[in-house]
Amino acid sequence: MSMSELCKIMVVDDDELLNMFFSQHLADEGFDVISVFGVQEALANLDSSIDFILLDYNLGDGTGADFIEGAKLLGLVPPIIMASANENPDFLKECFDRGITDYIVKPVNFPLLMLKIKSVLGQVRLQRLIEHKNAELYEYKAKSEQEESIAKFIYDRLVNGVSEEREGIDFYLQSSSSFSGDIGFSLTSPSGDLYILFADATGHGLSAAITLMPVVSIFKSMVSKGFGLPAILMEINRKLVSDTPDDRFVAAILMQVDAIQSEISIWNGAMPPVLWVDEGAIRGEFKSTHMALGILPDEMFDPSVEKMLIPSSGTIFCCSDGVLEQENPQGEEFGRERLIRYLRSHAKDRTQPLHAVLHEHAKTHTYSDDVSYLFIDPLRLPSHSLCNLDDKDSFIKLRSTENFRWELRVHGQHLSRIDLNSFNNSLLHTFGLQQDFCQIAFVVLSEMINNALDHGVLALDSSLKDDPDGFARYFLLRQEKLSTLGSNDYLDIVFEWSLGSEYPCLRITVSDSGKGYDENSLTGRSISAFSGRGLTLIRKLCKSVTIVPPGNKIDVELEWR
Amino acid sequence: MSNSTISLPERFDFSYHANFQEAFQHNLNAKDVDSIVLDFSRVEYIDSAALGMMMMWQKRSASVSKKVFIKGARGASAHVLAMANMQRLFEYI
Repeated sequence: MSMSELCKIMVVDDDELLNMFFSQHLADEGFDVISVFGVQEALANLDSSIDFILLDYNLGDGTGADFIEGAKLLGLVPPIIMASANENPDFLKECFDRGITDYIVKPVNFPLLMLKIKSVLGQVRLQRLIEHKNAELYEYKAKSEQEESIAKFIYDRLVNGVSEEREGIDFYLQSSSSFSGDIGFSLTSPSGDLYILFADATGHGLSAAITLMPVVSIFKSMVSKGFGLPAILMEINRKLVSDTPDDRFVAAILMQVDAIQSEISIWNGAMPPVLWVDEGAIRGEFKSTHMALGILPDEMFDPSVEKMLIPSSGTIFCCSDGVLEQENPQGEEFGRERLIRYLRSHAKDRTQPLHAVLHEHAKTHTYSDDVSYLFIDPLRLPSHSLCNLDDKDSFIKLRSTENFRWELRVHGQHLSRIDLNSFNNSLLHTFGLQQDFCQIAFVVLSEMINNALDHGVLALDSSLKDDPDGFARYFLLRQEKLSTLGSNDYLDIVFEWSLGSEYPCLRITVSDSGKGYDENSLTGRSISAFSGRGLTLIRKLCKSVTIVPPGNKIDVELEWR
Repeated sequence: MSNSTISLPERFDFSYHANFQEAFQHNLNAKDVDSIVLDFSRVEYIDSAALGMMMMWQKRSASVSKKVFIKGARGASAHVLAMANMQRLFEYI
């Protein structure tokens, strides 16, 4: 793009011949030119489309200075090159003070004028570009601040909404920006176990905070439903693997404090070791034995935990790598040695907090990474999470789940398509029944549904399952028969939860469109026989089991006690 | 000689039979494996078909003098295993 392209120049000179000469030359150079001959005419033609003015000083109806003042009043002052025969330094100074961009002496050296014009226009373009970028930047900043405030609101609600202040657990966090990639909090499960999540997402700031959101919400909802650590870990890992970019993951320590068994389960994935410090010595250490969450596929992910007895003295400590990697002005990391020295002295004198020691080391209060740590003091944990009242709490909670009844009939191909067991299980969760009870209900229900479907609707012979290859044949036959199901085939499932007089009770009835089966061919065998085990299992788990002739309806009562 | 671990899924039921069979067969064929550990640490749900498969493969393992262990069962799955008297056939570690 040439310098002259799209540029509009106003030539102001009362000497008609000279004016024509300038205008012609500039037009030849490709500029869009307006010729005017006096101050008033120039002001009348001035608008924002004019990029540049070539201005003579002595004009018939005034001076170039008058024009500049008039243009200032209009709020329109494009770059100006003044042309005059006057070379008096005071005069030149006055012109520049008024705001001209450059000056050229008459008689005008035209090639020099062109160079000056090009130079001025170059500056103008740069100036405009900067103004434009500034405006964009300003807008972007305003927009991003607004978005950040929304994200911050959601993040704070999510994080602070779950966190319970708890005596005996001290969490310290200093975030490197308004969003933290580190998080630590504790929750109590319905059975009274204390769950602790301490996590550090890759990076810091908003992108790190976003990866923590699913972690927090899954942890929160699964703890409240009474799931154990392995199930929670599997779910969080699965979610992060599927929903976050490959280079984003979450290092974490999860702990479950079980007051009844008096033990702590610990899972450490890619965090610095969990330390048990007692009487100034490191008495126990749980190093990371797992990869961070969000890396491994389901089948490779290991949710198994390590256990320790709840210590009767000392404290349990864990921190994010931001603590260990914090450098002092000489570039030395805080490191494990300094940390352990601190923990030893801390055991005797707790007045000096770790973050003060860290500040002293780093000689700064602004860190390049999120810094967080957690102290658990088992002796200071509230007694309710450390004594045996929990079963009662859980019982009361379950009792308060009011009665409900649910009926479902599923026909034909839905039977092969829908995972009825999972569906019913989530239904029970929805009504507020706890995971330990749901697990047992799931076992019973899946046996009932499998019996009704396999031996009722599909009329499969269970003796097929007597040897390992038979299992495979049975499975194939089952798939084949499932694909032929039509609208006359169905299963009925009824749930009825009632508080009862003594114990709450879940009544489950499953009936099917089949001909019924001979109960004696399924029971009366030992539980170690390869089939008929399902019904035996149901009988062991339930308070009552009734099979209604001709054997296509089964009714059980499962008591919560 | 060494032991080999089969890590069981969250839902250990009939649908797992093909993987289970494959894993066991592999371990029975492996000359350097003398014991097989069934890791229940992630199992949330178990059904009677799973119990059946366990017993069947325990028998097969015993016939080639390989031992099968149960590890890490919790909650309802531990409950169901106990009710089916699995401790008679399997050692817990």
